[in-house]
Amino acid sequence: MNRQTATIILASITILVAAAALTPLIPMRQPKYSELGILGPDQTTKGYPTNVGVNQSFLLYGFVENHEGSVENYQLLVKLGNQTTGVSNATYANAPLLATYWRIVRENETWIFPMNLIVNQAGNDTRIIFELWSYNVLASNFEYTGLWDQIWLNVTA
Amino acid sequence: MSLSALWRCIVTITLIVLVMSTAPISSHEASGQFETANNSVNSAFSSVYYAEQNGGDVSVLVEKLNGAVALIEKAVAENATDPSAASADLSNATAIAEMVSMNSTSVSASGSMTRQLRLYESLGAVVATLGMAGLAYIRGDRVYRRLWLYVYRNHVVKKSDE
Repeated sequence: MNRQTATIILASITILVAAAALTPLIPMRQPKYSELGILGPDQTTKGYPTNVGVNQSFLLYGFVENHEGSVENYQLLVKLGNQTTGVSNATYANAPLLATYWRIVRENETWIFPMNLIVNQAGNDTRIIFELWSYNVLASNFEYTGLWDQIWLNVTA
Repeated sequence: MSLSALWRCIVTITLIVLVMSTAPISSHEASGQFETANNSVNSAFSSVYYAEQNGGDVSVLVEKLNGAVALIEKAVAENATDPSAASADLSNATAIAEMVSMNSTSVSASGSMTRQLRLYESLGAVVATLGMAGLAYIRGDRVYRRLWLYVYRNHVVKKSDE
């Protein structure tokens, strides 16, 4: 082996070892996001209620996952809407609040929780709107994450 | 008006004033307690968040804080039927949140120390690697030759045509 080849091999090994030693210090750039899902009474995406009576309790499960890269303080707001209630990724629904669920969720943690909901007014095409809010540490308040979900119900008297 | 009628009137008015003055205070107190408990939990969350940003392990703190959140949710549910139990739950939630806030300072400090230690370890490994590489570059030839001589110290060189 000549000196030039030996120098190249030595330099390569040095760079590899130094890079391996520095890897834990380099922050990982991964996409940051939260997940929101609503599950049926058997904790799957089936069996959602479509007809319920007024003041009749029905069970759903909330599913929230944190991939924001840090611990998150979440609130899931359940609102009672109708066909005309406006809600999007940018604006939250201006509708009466049915329930609030609150939890602090660590990075990569999943929060699945039961929701026993009751609607106290009859109506066809009633929308149960679920919005995910998270606490902004700098602003010191809860902010709408833009994640929402809904189920449609016929509420009979 | 007779004296007894006057007394009855005074007692009735006093009772009405008492009822009127205590009712709003208790409801105001309850809403104030809810606000205090909510603010304590959110403030504790901010401390936990910064402790985690500093590299601290916040698992236990998050668990405790979720206990406080559960107490607040319980207080919301029982406030209409059992206000004293709700009040006790809110006090407990506030106390837990304040404890979490205090503990997060030490978690944050230990996280910072661990992170700094990791930085020094990595930098030490890089410096050692560069040092070894430099030595190998400068003295590598001599070390290789000496090693070669040591390995082949018993080797006998013979002429091939002997």
